[in-house]
Amino acid sequence: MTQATAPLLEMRNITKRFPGVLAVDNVSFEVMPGEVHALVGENGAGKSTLMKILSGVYQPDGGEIIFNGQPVTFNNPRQAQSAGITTIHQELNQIPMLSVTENIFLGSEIMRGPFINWGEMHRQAREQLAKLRLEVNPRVWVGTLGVGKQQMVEVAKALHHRSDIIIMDEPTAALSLNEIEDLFGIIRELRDNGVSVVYISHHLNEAFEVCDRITVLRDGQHIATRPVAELNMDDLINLMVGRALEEQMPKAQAERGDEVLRVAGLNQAGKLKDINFSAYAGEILGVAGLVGAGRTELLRALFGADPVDSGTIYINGQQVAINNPRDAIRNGMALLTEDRKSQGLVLGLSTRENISMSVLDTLTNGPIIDRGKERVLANNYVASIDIRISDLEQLVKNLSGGNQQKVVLSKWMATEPRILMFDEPTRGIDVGAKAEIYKLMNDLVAQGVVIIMVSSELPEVLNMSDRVMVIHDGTIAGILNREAATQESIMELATGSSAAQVPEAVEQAVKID
Amino acid sequence: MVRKITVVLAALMLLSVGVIHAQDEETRTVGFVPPALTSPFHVAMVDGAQARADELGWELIVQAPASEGDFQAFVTTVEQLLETGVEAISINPIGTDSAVTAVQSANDRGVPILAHNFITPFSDTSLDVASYIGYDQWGGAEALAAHTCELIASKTGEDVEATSGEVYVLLGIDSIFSRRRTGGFEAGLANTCPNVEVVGQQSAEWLRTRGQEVAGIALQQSPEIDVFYGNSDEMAIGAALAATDLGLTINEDFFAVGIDGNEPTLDLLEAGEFSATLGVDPFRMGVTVIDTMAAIFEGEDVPQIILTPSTVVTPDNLESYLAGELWTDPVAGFPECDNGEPTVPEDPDAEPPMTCDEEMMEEDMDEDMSEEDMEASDEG
Amino acid sequence: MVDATQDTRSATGNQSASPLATAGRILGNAGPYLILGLMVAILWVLAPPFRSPTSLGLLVLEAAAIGIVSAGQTYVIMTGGIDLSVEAMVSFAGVLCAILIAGSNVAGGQIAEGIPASLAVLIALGAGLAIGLFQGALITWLRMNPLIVTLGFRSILLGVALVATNGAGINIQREGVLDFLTSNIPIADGWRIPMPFVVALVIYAVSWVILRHTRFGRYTYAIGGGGEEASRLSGINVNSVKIWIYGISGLLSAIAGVLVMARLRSGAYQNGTNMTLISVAAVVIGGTPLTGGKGGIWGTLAGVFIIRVVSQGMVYLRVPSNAQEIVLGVIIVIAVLLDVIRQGEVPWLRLRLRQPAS
Repeated sequence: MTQATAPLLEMRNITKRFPGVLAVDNVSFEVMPGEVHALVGENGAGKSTLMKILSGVYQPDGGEIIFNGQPVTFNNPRQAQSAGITTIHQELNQIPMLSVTENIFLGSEIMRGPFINWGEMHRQAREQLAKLRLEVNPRVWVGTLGVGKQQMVEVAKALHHRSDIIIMDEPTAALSLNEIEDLFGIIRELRDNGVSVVYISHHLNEAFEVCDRITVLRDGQHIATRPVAELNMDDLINLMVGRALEEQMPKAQAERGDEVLRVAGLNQAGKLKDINFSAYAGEILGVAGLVGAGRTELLRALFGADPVDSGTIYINGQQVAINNPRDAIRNGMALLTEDRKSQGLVLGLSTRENISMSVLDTLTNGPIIDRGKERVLANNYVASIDIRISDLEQLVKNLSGGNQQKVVLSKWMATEPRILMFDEPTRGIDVGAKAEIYKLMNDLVAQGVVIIMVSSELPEVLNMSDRVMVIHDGTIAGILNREAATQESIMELATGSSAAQVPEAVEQAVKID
Repeated sequence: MVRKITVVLAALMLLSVGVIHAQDEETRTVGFVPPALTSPFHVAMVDGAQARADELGWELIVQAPASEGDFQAFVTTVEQLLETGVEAISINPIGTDSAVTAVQSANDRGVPILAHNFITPFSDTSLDVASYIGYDQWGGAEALAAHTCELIASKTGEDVEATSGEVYVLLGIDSIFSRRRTGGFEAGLANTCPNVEVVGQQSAEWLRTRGQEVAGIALQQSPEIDVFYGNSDEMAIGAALAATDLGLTINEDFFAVGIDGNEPTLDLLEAGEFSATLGVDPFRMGVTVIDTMAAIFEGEDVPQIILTPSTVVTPDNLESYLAGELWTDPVAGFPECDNGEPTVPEDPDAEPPMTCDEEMMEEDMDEDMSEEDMEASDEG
Repeated sequence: MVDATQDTRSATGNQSASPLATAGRILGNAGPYLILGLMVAILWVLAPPFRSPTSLGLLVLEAAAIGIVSAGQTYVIMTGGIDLSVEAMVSFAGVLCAILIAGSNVAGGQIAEGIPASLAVLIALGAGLAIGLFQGALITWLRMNPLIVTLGFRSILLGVALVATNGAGINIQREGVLDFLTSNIPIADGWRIPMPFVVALVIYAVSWVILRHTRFGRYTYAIGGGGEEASRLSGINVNSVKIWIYGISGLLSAIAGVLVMARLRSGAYQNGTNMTLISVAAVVIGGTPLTGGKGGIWGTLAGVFIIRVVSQGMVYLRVPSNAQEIVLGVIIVIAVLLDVIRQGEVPWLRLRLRQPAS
């Protein structure tokens, strides 16, 4: 370790405001040379904002950045990159139809006169890839590589820019176990070569495995910075959430009623394999799994948003045909998508128009929409679930994430669904609104609605779910009762590492003949 | 079965006889390239050429770009036809200099090339165009103007020379065509009825819709307009419709005259809904093109410029025009230059140059003195 | 002037409540009409003949057909699509109608026995609707790009019109319904409303009701502006809406085609010349962005009139027509620029507007 030397990077008293939100509040953060420093916190804690300030995407409203002993200002990512700070984004910033070499050298092509020096570029690219023990032809399109290899190419690009600090934002989100191991090997190698890594991850165990120190942010504030050796998982979670999980997310117990939804033999080429399960009135069925495991695909398939190859859906014991979202809605289903802005809302329309969207047919006099009825409906939800808007005509694009989610929820509640599917219900929503959404979910299940909730936030899954269905590689790895569901048992199923070891905890998927 | 074979054999024999026969008659394959086939004028010319070619037993290949003004496609079309081995080709260029590449290609292959509906020689004198065939736009417009004077006089009751009146001119898109047709008409008015005034002129882009729109506005500015003259009939028809819709009566309150004499115009003329057009008989112009090609194949000398006749067509002589009775044999003529001067010189003894070079050089003088100087020293 | 506290409030979020923003919104919605008013005022002063009832009658008459085409284009652009086939449809419908009436596809008028004009008009409108629906089906079911599909149909329809007429217009007489469609309604001394403009106004009024007060219209707005997937997931039959949108555009273009044909007394393939570009420009000038989702039908009418006033004004002012293109282009660019400023999507433009004093 390099405790004795001076920090490579110091961010001092950084503050960043967005309209209505104090995203980063007087946060200080330092990185030593050759250190792997984890940055953890819940969604909205300020991790991404802090790192975007460091990489020049945002300019801070207060505070200073000292890099290599010099105060610096980065007005854009390019400046940060040329100073030696590179970010590897969660969503890869690569151009799929360019070759590996072209992606590595994008913006810094080696020239010979007016022409690109392909030979030299390919040679250097091969060299860089070899350092990462990556067996990839530098001439192939990046888009033809697996996600894991694409991530490695991103690392190669960072190394090519001789970065002193590499910021990795959820680097393992899309990686297989083997790939994660390879990545950790490379991170250690980088560290040994004096490169510092800022590691942002929701997977806390990864932080323990590969990092030297951990900094915890919560609600935009710096909570703690500790060496991993001085922390355990429980401490860390406590630091992150700041209170006991149960307090934060009250789970109301509802009576489990009759089977409402039964899915049998659902298949979708390349995405879903032989999905069989049931859901019961008054329960929240949590759906956990790694990114890319097929959770969102499952919800979309059930909702008729994407075609399936085979499978049968029964609602209240009756077989139903769901070929498109209209069929699903007719059968009492609703889907709150993960991507609210492009899939849940029509941003250019008003709050009123978004809320009434799925039930317009009930609000018409002949062919004409009855504005009065529409307003009554919208006002009803604005009041009952406390959507904070100035008036019904306010465009939803001007609402905060929490209020937007409430508008989407209102739209679906207006259809009086029996089966409500949430995909990442609280992503990008502040803490206060989160609690309100949870309360709404509790109210809905109390009325006998089935909620199927996909979430990447394990605490959310653990606390809100009556049962947890874990998806791995397009199949149901297991369904855990509330008592059996723990962070560990879920992760084991989700990674496919040891499904066999937890049979007694798994309530096997209902088989249909 | 046997019968079938017999039939086929018979057919083959007939065919071969046909071929031999045709060879005796000297079958020719010739090309014909209009600027596009989007106007009845060019369609009629093709019909005329086709009819004559059929009589001679020739094969006529007609190819045209999809739209007028696509000069590049025009050149490509000509070159493709040359590639198929035509023995002569006639083209109707509308962007003068854009066609020189096509002419050069024909010259390089030694294929005689003619220009139809076009009597403005290319400025590049090294090019060899066998003959330019077309009508005199200036002279035609001048004749139409003279008739217009008579129409106005009939309305005012004054002598033709003395009558006064107002004329509005609907211009085509600015080009040598619109300039010649406007210049000739204005000259004709000045010669025949000098007191008649041109009260306005605006482009109507060769379109009936625009003619209608522009004429409506013109009547707001000058309610006393006696005559709408269109560089093309279509624009004048639009003007007639606009005036009629405003409550005026054609051939009483106002007149509409134009150039082209296409079928829709002749139809309206017959119905008394148009006043006069300049008939140039594109069908017979097409016939003339093929006849000229035949003369070239025979080794005859053909005039560099062949002028086909044009006639002012009115309801009175419409029958004779349609019957071809007004057609006169084409004559050797003079080039039409963009110089604001009549195509056929007023002095019948004058010997105008057979190119437009000198005029062009005068126009270029300001910007290109050195060339002028060189030319001058050459002469000296 | 706006005082400081209000300005701060608008900066911190509640945008629609700020008087400045409200003023901006009203100004934004009325923008095209302000420009139109300004242009009419300029022409009123500079060109005395423009002030006569007849010339105002001509103005609305000239606006009618292109206005109807632009109304159809508004529906399409509202969903984020574009219809490049409108001018071809105008020509095609006119040619079809004229051939049916004349009973002949040979230029030179009523040679054979034709069918009654009203029937011919109905057939032409039906063809417009059907061809529009077919384009919509290709665009939605086969997921073909609207730009390419409508460009293809532009060529097909123009080509058919050309082949059918050999380039010559089919002359027809204004009889029956055609006579009615070209008539005028006298309203006062010298003032007459041309029937085509009445047709256009009816179409605009109906379109306003459809777009603003029916489910179909709401879905049209929802699909544009990037809301297509959200609409689909909300249970809206997006495909059906889009197919009908192109059907409406085809139908309205065909109506315009019949009006133009009746007015010119000729079905010719040139009848629709330039209408595609002008209709798209009118829609954009009227405040509907090419991405769709906002704007409205009355803005398009203002856009049409702006273009018509400019076009006629230049004839009144005797501007050479070659220069008219330049003026029209400048107006299109300025109109879109105003829209950009209004939306506040360009940061440096927004800053100047929001903080005038500091």
